[in-house]
Amino acid sequence: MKPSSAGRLSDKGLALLEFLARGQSTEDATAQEPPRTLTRGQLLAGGTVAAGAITGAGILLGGLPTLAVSKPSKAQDRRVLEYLLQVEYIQSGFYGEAERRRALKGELAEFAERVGRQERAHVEALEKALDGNAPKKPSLDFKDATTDPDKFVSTAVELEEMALAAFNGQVPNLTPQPLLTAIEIASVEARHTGWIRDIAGRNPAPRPADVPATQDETNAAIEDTGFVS
Amino acid sequence: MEHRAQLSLQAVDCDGAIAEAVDALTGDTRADFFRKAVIGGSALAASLEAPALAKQGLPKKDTKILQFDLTLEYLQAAMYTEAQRLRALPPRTLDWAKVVGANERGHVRAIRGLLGKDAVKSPRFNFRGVTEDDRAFTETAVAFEDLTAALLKTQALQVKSRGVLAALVSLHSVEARHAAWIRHIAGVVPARAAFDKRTSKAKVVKLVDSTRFVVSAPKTSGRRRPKYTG
Repeated sequence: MKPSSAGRLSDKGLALLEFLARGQSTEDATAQEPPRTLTRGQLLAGGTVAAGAITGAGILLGGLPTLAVSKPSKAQDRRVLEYLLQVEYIQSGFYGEAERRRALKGELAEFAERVGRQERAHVEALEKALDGNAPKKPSLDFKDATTDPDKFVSTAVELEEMALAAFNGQVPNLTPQPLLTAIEIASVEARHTGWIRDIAGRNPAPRPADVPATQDETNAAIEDTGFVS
Repeated sequence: MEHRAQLSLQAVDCDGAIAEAVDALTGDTRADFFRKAVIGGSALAASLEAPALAKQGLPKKDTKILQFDLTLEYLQAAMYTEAQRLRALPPRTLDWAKVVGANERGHVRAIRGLLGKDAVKSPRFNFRGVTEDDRAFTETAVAFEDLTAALLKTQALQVKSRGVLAALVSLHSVEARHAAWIRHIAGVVPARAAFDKRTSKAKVVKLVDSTRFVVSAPKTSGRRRPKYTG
């Protein structure tokens, strides 16, 4: 387990993602989203990938160069769970703030309330798995992303995609018990993603397989949001 | 804080399964694929550069699990593809069938690639009007997607190969997206609980049996193309 030198997504990984994102599908079903130039943050969040633009080929391929797998152990479980807990802190902070500020209406308010409650349950489960020795909560500022409906939707898509990719990247690294907890959570993050993307009018399932993210990539995506100080 | 070592494809893909899946998915030989990859950036080719991977085959248990999944994917792909062809569903549901059908066909190719010569053939299906009936289609789709996501959790704990595990994890969350989407279309809560529980293969078999969609059993030879395309 030597430390990775890559603090951010490597050029290699970026080139791959760009290649995959540009690829045209032979089975482009509904093209709800036209292909466009992607920023690195969007690529990481998987947010704006065109419908079907990444075919089956993209899947496993997309995962490969960034797939960081090391043999599960108790010590590794702890490190992975601490990292995933950080991701959950950001999500539950986001929806909690949206609820407190009461600016959202209709289905967005319902989404923030229900999903917020589920993210808090994820936080509790991960804290419990860490025997109460949880890391420090980050200091968060979401600015108007928790009050402006359009910004709320695009931010929710980004955060859900990011969380899903983070969990998917770590599930294979865990021992059985935390693995089960992590995949039970990943599944719900995937549901949130599908739900908010449908609300946003964006294809909820644009790829046959979800591309996992490494910890480096997730950290870079978090940094890009500017929410964590 | 960073502790995860970046491993090469070679190290991760210890049984060659993913590399084989890549070939099957692209429909190219690896050489062709690398040629195309260079167009996208030589970095891609470099990142996948690995010596010829030994074709050792999968652990027996993983083969059995993937064979069952393949049949389940054939079933889903066939049902949604038929719905897409018949065009009898309302627009949002039809969009769902198109996108999800394409995804499930992608899963079929991926799993066939992982299984190689151990790939089972598709059974023959009769959807008994469900692909033309909005309510029946939606209810069946919700059940299929919810249960497939639940089954894949059980399997994630069972598979021996970590390459297969990584592949199943990548497919698993897509099934959960499908489930949330069809639930949203149907006006039911897309994410009911904070944790999605697993289910057993027996429960999935029971559901599939109850539909009476499968009209002939799959055979074990994987030499021919699946017959699900109608």
